Amino acid sequence: MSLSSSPSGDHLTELVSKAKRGDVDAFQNLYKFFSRKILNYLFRMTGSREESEDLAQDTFIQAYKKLSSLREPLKFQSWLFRIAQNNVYQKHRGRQPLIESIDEHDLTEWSELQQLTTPQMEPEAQALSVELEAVIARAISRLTEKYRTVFVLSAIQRISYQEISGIVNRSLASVKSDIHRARIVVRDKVKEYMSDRH
Amino acid sequence: MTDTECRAGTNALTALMDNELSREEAFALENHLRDCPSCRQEYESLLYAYQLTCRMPEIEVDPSLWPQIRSKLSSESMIGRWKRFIHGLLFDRPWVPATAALGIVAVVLFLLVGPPPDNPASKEFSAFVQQREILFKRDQGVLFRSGGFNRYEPRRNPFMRQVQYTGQNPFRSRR
Repeated sequence: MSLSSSPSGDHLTELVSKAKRGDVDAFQNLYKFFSRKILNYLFRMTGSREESEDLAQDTFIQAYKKLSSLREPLKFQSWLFRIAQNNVYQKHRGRQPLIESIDEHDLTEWSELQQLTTPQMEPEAQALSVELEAVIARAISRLTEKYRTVFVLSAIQRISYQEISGIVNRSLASVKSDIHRARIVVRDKVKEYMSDRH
Repeated sequence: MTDTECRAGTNALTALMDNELSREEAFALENHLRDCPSCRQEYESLLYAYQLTCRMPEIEVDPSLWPQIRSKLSSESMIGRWKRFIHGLLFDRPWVPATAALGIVAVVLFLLVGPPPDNPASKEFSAFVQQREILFKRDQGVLFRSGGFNRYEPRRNPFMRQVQYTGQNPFRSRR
């Protein structure tokens, strides 16, 4: 169902135009291109698969309803991420940061996920990687929402700084600085884990 | 790059690994990293954590997600279609609702002040009026039809006897 690569500019424009006219099949193609990115972004932001699926569903439904307000079809991805980000903010407004939500249960889930994705590694190396990734996941979840957003968009979704600046509606310099700070926080957690281990 | 520049350029280390620097900036920073062990160590540690982050596994999209979205979109598109239809009627073709409203008003008026019920008394009255009209036209007046009502404008003939109606049927006594 999901395609990882983004459509070409012309194809994207055509799909958006058709979807604007109410063509659900065209919108389904847009969903195929962007659902994986949006779902994983939401997963990193919320730390919960179930919640990220609910938010992804809301994001695509809202996108379909508001599609007529999108003036530049080529900015569909940024626009979609902005809707997803607003949904996360609305869902977590007044709620404590996600620190509590990533607990031992999530770490176990992480381990299972990692075992599925890297079956070729040696058990010892695999265990280290699983633990490390759990540490990184926890570090990401402990970032403030402001830092977490730019961190996930840059390091995991590999979106350009310029596009991130448009998504979060902040200056490029501020985004650049926030990304760097977030990377340092995550790096420090990794460093701490590594030094505890040795 | 001096020590001050090292501190100022820390954002650039992240920008370098994200390919966000121009060719010249990247070249200058790479040259600096070769000569500055502290910056190089900082860069390598950031790069290591970044590479680990890049290896984070992604979750797969549940195939049942799209059908759920699709079913909600179908109901949304139904509502949207109706909204567009109503909007189009009100703003693009305003004569359609205007005509419909007039039609409704006409129907309501017809129902409220329509023809009298079909009973023997009204039939008798209608026949009386009809007969009176014919005779009046023949003898004295001109029939004018306007607005669904018949009325007489009697010819003013000074030599003709004027009939005075007293509420009784005058034609019956004439026969």
